Amino acid sequence: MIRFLHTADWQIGKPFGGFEVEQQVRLREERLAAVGRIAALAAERDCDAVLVAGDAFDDNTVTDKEINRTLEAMRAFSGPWVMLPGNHDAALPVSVWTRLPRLAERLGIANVVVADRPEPISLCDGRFAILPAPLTRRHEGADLTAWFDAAETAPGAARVGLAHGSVANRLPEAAESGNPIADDRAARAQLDYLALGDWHGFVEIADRTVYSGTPEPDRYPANAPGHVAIVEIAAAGTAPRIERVKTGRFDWRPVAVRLDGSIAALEDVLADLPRPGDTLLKVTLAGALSLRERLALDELLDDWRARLFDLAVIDADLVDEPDAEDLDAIDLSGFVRIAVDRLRAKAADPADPERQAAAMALRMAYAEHRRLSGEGR
Amino acid sequence: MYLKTLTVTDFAGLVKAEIGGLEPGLNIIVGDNEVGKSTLLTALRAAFFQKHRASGEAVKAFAPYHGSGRPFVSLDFELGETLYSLSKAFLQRPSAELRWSGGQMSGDAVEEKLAELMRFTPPGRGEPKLSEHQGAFGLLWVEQGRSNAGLDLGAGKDALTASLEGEVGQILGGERGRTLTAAAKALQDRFFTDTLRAKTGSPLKAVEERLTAAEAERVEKQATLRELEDKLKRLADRRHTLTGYERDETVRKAEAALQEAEEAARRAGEREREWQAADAARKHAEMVRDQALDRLKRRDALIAAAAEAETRAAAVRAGFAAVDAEARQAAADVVSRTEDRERARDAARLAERVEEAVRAQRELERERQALAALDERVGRAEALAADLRGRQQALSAVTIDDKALKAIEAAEARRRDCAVRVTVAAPAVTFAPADASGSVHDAAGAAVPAGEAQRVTQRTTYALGGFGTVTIEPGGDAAALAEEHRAAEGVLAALLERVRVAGVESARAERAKARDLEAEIKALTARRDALLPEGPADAGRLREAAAASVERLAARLSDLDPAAAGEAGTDAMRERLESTRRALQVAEAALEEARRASSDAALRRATAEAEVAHRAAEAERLRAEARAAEDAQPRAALAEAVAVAEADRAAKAELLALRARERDAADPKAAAEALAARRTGLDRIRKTVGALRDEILSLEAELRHAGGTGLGEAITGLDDEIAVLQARRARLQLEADASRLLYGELARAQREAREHWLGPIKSRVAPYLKLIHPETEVELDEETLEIKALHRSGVAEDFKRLSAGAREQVAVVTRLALAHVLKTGGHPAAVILDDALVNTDEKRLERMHRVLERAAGDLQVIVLTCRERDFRDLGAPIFRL
Repeated sequence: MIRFLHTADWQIGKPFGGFEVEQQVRLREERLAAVGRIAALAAERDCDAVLVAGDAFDDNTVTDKEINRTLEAMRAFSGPWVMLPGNHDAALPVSVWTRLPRLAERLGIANVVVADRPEPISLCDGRFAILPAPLTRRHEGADLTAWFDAAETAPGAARVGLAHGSVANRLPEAAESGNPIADDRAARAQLDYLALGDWHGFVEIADRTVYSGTPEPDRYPANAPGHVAIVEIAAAGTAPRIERVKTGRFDWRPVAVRLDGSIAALEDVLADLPRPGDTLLKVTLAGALSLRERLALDELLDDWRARLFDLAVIDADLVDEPDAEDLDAIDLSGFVRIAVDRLRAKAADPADPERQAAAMALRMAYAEHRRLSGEGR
Repeated sequence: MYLKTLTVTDFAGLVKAEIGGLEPGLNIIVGDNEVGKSTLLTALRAAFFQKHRASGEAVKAFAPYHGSGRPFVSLDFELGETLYSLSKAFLQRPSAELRWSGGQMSGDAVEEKLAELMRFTPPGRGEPKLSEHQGAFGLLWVEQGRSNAGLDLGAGKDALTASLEGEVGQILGGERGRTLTAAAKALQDRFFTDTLRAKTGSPLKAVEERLTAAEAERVEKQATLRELEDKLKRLADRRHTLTGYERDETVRKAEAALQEAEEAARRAGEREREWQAADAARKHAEMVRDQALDRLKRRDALIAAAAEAETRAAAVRAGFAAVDAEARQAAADVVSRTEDRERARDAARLAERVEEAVRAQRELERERQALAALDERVGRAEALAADLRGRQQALSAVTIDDKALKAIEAAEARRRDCAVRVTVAAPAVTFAPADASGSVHDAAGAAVPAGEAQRVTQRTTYALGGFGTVTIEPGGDAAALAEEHRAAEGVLAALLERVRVAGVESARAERAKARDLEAEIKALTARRDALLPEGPADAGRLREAAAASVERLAARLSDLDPAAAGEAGTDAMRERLESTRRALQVAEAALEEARRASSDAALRRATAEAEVAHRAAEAERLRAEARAAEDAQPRAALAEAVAVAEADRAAKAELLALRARERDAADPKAAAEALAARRTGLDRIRKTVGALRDEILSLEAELRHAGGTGLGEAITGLDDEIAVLQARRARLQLEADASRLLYGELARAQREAREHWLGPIKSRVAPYLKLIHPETEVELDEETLEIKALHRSGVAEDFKRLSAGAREQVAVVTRLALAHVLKTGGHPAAVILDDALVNTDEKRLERMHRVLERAAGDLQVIVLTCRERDFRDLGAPIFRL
């Protein structure tokens, strides 16, 4: 029996430029920590090998320091690490893969196999044949796994394909921009398992064809990122046993909440978060709120911003609907009321180019009024 | 508010003033200057607005002028239908008391109550400032001299604003509106300057700057990345190309082709060399033939030359005989001409001797005559010289000269002069005896004639007969003059003695004799000099020379033929001399000609003789040469050699043609070109391959270097950061727009509201203004409520530039209007005007009376004035101080 760990898309060195510096550091550190967790898991499960199906590194220009730290994180597993160049770290004439062997050698690490040539790699005394399809360019128009079909391997050896790209006809269209992989490749090439990378969520996309996804989430889409696959092949030609094991720490959580007149729905969602400190929440808000509620929303979000690892708010579809009570609170009469009424008319006029600014101005007036009258925060 | 009574005692300049029964409408209080009208108003203010316990400078000024006293004010007033009695004392035992129907209070409570009733802010600690705390009363109670200065709103503005708001509703939004506007302005100020320009340092600007910086950095990084990618692409491309070269064994193939070309070129080279050898052999054979031909030609030429030399020698020999004969003839001519010339020379010499003898004879005679003349001149000169010597001896005997004579004459003149003076000075004594018996004798006994004056120059004694003696002694100068006379006589005698003459006359005669001698000597000397101008010595020498010349000529003549000299006449002799000389010249010329002809002929002969020898030698040499050559190699042998050489040359030429055909067949030029092309080709291929390898190495090195820079990460990071910054910018832009919109709308609404805001004031001012300045309208500042301008028929006139009269009228009517507004707003209001219309003309004053009457309809108006006459017709109660 062959047992191996299938992972991909570590994206070491990803910068997370949209975050504050402290958050960037912690997010980057966590990706290295995830590699450490993978190594520990592979050792614990006594795996024959770890297969990394591409994009271990976020870019070919990743620094030597980053490569060294990755290699250090991999030490916990002393078996072979078969690493495939993906589109982010393609095996270009000069690439991260031309630097890594030298750095590994200096660290005294000899168990890294760079699968940068389309030829079978034999492990476990010939019982385990790995067929890699490395990317030598970022984008390939042709299916690089085609050669698997005719690849000769030792009789009785488990045939496992290793590739990085989009499985045709199976993924959302947006993902199929390049590097196609035939969805029946496993069958045609008589593979016992086709280990894939590029899609960041864990999914068995076709028969014996699996995307392990990234071991540590790095973006919001809710497609089960943060896992690796432990695969056991009892014998060549038998169905593999695939186990999904969680390795991720940060919870990148997108939520969409509709607020109509009240912010209670959002309060509920927030209250249900299991680990706010490790959660990166992206809230997409829609609906309409009075100015009172809008201010309450701002307070609520400020409150949670301090509790969450990160909070991103998309409120383009959330509109202010100042009601009579709001406006009366600002002023019942006098020139202020005249100005407020004019702003409301402007905000309500879909043809007015200053509509949004008018809505914001009303909110400001309301907030200032609250602040000045001591009713605010 | 209705002030009913007012009593003031010991207050500043006022000892006591009591005004009772003021009416609710118009009241006139009259007082002359200095009686304390204005003090009345001060006391009224003090009662309401000054704390009774206050002790500042303002309160100290309340102290009575006449000495110690207790400033005291008491008054009754009605407010809101309640009647109050207020009394206050200051400085000494300060007190305050307020009573009303419902109660009473005293002390500090009174102050608070008053502040509440009159709606003013009680003064705080320190020196109170009435203008700030007396509320609207600064506006309503107008001090003397301030009526034309505007409205003195001060703290009254707030009261007025509050009253106006009460009247026009909450148009201004009250306190809330003002604070909200200020807050909105603060929001706008975060982003904009007052002129609505984007503000430096605003959050929006900060984000924009960061965004710009991030975008610039990304552009730069992307460019670097593109460069990196280009290099990667180039590296792949170069590797691919190099692999192609290696796979096709391009270099090895090119090398083989080069080898082949080299072989072909070598073969072509051999053909070329063979042709060159054949060409050289042909050239050699041609040279050999040419040499043989040349030798044959030279032999023929030698033979011809020998024959020709023989002919020429014979011809020269024939010409020489004639030349030789000519030469001999010429030599003979020279001899005969020489003889001719010798004869001519002898004849000429003879003629010359004759001529010379004649000339010498004549010369001798001339010299003898000259000698004789000279001898005679010398003889006469010697006779003259003897005569001259006699005279000179006579002259030398004379001792007196001109100088000595002059001295003698001077001494004589002196003596004479002295004698005259003695005579004049000496007394004259004349003896006249009475009878003839009387005789007189001098000391010497000589008789002195009678009747004749005797000059006595010295002590003289006369003996008078019959008498005795008379001694006369001259006095004075007579004695000195006598002495002087004696001295002069001495001098003269000495001089005469020296020249050995007896007297002056003899001296003069001696001198005349000497002069005659001198003249004679001079004449004799001149005559001698005329005879011998050259002097006696030279004359002697001349004579000796003439004698020698005579002797010499005589000797010469004796040498020549003295006989010939006497022969023929002079002319014939000269003619012969000339003709012989001419004959000599002709003979010499002929000789010269003959010599020249002989010399020419001799030269010609010598030349001809040399030619003959030369030609003969030449003919001999050529003959010998020809003979020697023929002995060495006969001409026939030479002709044979020529024929053999020609045959060899023809054979060599044929071989050369063969080799040329062979060389052309091998085409060495084409072979060389092919070789060069192969070489270049190989070179190029090697260079290309080398360059590819170099470039690959260099690119690999560069890319290795650039590999770990984290460039890709940085760009992705910047992408994310830019997206976030763009979102933030959009948000801030929206906030900026919103803040501007909010403040803009608030300000606009406020501005519009203000247009209504002054309505109540204007509507109340208008009827009053119509009375004094028809067709005008007053413009108030929205913010300060001060009077800005007076609009007359639509033209704005700055308030400050109006006349003092117009200013006080407009200000008074506006105050009255504002008092109405205040009253309507529930504020206590009563108007007090202290001499407020002093600048107003009579016509307008009358109209102002009507204004006051009308205003007093529902306001208490108290007028303080010093001009009772101005107000007595109003029908209002008049109070006098």
